[in-house]
Amino acid sequence: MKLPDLSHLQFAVLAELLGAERSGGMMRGALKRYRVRQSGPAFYQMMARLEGSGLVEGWYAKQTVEGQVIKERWYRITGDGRRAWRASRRFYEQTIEAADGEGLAPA
Amino acid sequence: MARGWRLPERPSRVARRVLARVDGELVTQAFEPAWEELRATMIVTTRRGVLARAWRRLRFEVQTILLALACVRLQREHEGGRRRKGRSIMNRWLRDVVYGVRALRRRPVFTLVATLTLALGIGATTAIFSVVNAVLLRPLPFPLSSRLVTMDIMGPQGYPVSLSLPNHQDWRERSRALETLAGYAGWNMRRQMDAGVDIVRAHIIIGDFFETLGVAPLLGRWIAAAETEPGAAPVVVLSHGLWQRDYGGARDVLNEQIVLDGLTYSIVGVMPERFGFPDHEPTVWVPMGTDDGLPWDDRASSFGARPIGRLAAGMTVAAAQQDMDRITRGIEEEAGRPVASTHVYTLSEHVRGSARTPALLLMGAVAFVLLIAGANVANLLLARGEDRRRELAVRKALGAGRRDIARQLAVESLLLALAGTLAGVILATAGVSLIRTWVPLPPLIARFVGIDGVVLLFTAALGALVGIVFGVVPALRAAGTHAGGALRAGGRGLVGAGGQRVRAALVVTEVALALVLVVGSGLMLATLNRLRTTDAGFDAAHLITARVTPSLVANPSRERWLGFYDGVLERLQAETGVQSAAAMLLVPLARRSWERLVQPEGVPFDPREGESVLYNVVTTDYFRTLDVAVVRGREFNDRDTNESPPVTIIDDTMAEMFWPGEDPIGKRIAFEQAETSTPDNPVPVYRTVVGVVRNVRHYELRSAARMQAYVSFHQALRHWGSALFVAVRTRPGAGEFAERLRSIVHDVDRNAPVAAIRSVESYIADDLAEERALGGLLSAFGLLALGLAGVGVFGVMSLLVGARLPEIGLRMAVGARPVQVLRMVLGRTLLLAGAGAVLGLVAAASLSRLMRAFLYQIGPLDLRVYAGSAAFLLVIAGGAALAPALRAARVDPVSTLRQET
Repeated sequence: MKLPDLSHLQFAVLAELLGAERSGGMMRGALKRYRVRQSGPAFYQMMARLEGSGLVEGWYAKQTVEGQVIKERWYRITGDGRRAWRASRRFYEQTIEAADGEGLAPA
Repeated sequence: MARGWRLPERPSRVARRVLARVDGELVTQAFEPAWEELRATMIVTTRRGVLARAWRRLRFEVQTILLALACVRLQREHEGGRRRKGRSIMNRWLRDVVYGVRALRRRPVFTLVATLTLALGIGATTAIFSVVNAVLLRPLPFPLSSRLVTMDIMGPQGYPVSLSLPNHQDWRERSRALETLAGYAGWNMRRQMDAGVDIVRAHIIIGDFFETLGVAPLLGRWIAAAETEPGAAPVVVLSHGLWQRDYGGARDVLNEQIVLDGLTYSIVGVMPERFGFPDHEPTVWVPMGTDDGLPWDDRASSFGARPIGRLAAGMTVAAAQQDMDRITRGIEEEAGRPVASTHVYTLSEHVRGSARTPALLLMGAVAFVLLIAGANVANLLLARGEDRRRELAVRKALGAGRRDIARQLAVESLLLALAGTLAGVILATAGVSLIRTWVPLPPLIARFVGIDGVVLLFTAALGALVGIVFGVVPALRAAGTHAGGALRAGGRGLVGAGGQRVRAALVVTEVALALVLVVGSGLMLATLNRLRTTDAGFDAAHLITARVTPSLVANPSRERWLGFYDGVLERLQAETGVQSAAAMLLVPLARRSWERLVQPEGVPFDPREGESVLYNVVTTDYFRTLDVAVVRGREFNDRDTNESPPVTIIDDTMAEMFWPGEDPIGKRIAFEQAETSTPDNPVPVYRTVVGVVRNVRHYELRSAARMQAYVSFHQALRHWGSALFVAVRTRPGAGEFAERLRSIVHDVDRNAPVAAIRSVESYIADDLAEERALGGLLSAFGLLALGLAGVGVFGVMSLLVGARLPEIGLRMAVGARPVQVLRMVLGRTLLLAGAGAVLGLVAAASLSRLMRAFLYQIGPLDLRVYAGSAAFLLVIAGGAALAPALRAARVDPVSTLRQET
């Protein structure tokens, strides 16, 4: 059984995107549930790496609020991202099953 | 909303300074979205009031700085905590290089065009520098070569003379400045072999020849100075090339015997491959002998022997000159009459000869090509910089400093320069091969023309220089891009007025430089054309010559010598396809000469006095065969024999010189002494002038030869035994005759060597080789410059039209016709090209004076060449601008204006 390619945090981030597209701010808010304490730049750097790996797609969305243009970075999960997330989930499920039932399977 | 306070469009100055330490990619990926998120958070804050706004603003600024600091922390983590500055700088450069490679790959057409342009400029410059390196920079391949000198010797009659044995002895004994003094003369010797006789290139030496040059032999020993004294045992040293060719490199060749011109020599040494003097052709060096056929004893003779010497330690050329002047004065006082004087200069200057000026001229020309190529690349970089204004503005807005952007762009231009340099070296390698075969170079130097370490170092420095110089302006301009303006432009790539001015200036410069080259090549081509059509005094068409030597080595006699050539000529005349045939001592433009002092009857005869004339021994049909016009009197005929009164034919120059305004027919002159002469009682042999012919250009096509005199083959006193040239004029369409000529000679004497079978036209081609090479290279550079300038004009006008499309659309919407738009674009082009042409003409007028020495029957300010070149260039510029102009004329005003709105 191969170790997953995703870190726990990446796993959590992709999980947030499974249901819908999210802005960076929304994602960071959601991640607070997991007591993740990351600076904004560190978070967006991680997202840029996920983008670079082709697991998520990111874009800027513009809106005008009272005459001022603001931009937000939005993200959506890609097909590769879903596959990577499922592979990680399988790993965790199998690991849990092995630990609960028969002990760890031989490598 | 934060009424009264608009959110800033870019981070504060403090934050930007912090971000300057952060990689641009990290800024884009991590800082920008985090900062935008902060802005979004701030904008939706609802608290109002002055204090609240101030507090909000303060928080915003502080948090911006904290975000920037977080980026710095990320970068440090990314670098694994490596904080040493050097490593950091290295990493920054490495990142720039990686980023630069990516950026260049993203725009393959731009990269390819810029690389090729640079490769052409750098390749051409490198190829010519390889010549300059060999001709001007590289020392001669002899130990302490800066101490080697040579001398031009001026006879007391005012003509150059050769080194003679008496002069050599006088100078060697009296000189204090020269450590050694030697001399050499080129000669052809007949080598007796089992299979027959062949001709061997020889250099006859006198004095410490090998010691002067200082290169140790590969095998055996040198010829010592004592062995070049009269009466010494004959010994010979072989060149490496001849040793390999004729002896298969056998190491037991020492002490073998070799028979040259009937004399048996012992081989005492073989020189190494790297040694060659005066060239690297296979040759033998033999000591001067009393019977080697050269007039070594004659102080006034000009058979081509040249002195070489080595300065004593601490001596200079000037000191050697003073020393030689002192010696000359001493000898004059002793002799009581004028003697030969000398001009001392370095052997290096002599070997490099006239190659110095053309090499520098070509280097200057190729520098122009490089400048044009550089200007084109600068133009491309400028255009690209404007394309990337928005990208650069975003980076700048997010904190990248001018220095970061300038560095990044400089790295990109250096990468381009590197690619151009590598491609240029490949082009230069091919160019050097062409130059070696095409350009006449001094023989000792030609083999050193190539891409060596010095040339590669030069090319690397050149590439870096081009990268920096032509990359800096675009980089600084792009780095200075105002963020807000560029962002507001919305990526439309508007060309600023400053950018237009810079590029217009580059086009003007390109056109001016190209025009200088076109004028230069025009002047050389006109020179070449005039030389080709100049009247040489003879007709070279369908004329082939060969040096034919009878195999009379063992037992020569005058009768057998005469009989041999008579037999060969008789057979040739009978051959179908042969119009006429003759034998002669000298062929025009074959770079051989024989001069003798001549004195008219009526003055006391002194063999050391008189005027020097070109002396040729010819058979009866010489003038008819070469088609030399007889101006007065007659040609030689069969009645001019050894028994009849001695006669001569002179040229019109000599007739005018000796007897101005008089009829020279019947006058008498003397070249030589009778066999009954003694040193105390010289008896002249007077020859009667029976004919006057036109001057034949013998030394070069550019100028008339000095006076010429001809002696009938059957009346030659001293020159029987010499190898003569046989010339054959074939009928048009007779086809290849070389093998037939060889066969006919061998019918008469099966062992007679037949060498140097060549057409006289090929001698003319050799004579014009320098002009042809110079004209060819200048034309090639001129065409290259024209092409590059054309590309430059096209690029700039395309960009200009692109930037002015809205304006053009507007003009057409209000009634401008396509032809008016066409005229406007072409007019702008011709205005720029015209300004360049004016500058180019001025530059050409001042620089073409450097070419004066190479021009023939044309001035450096020839109006037709200048006007033609300028017109040609304007046509090229107009042609290059035609496509952008047509694009402008076809603009659809409706769609253009809709895009604008």
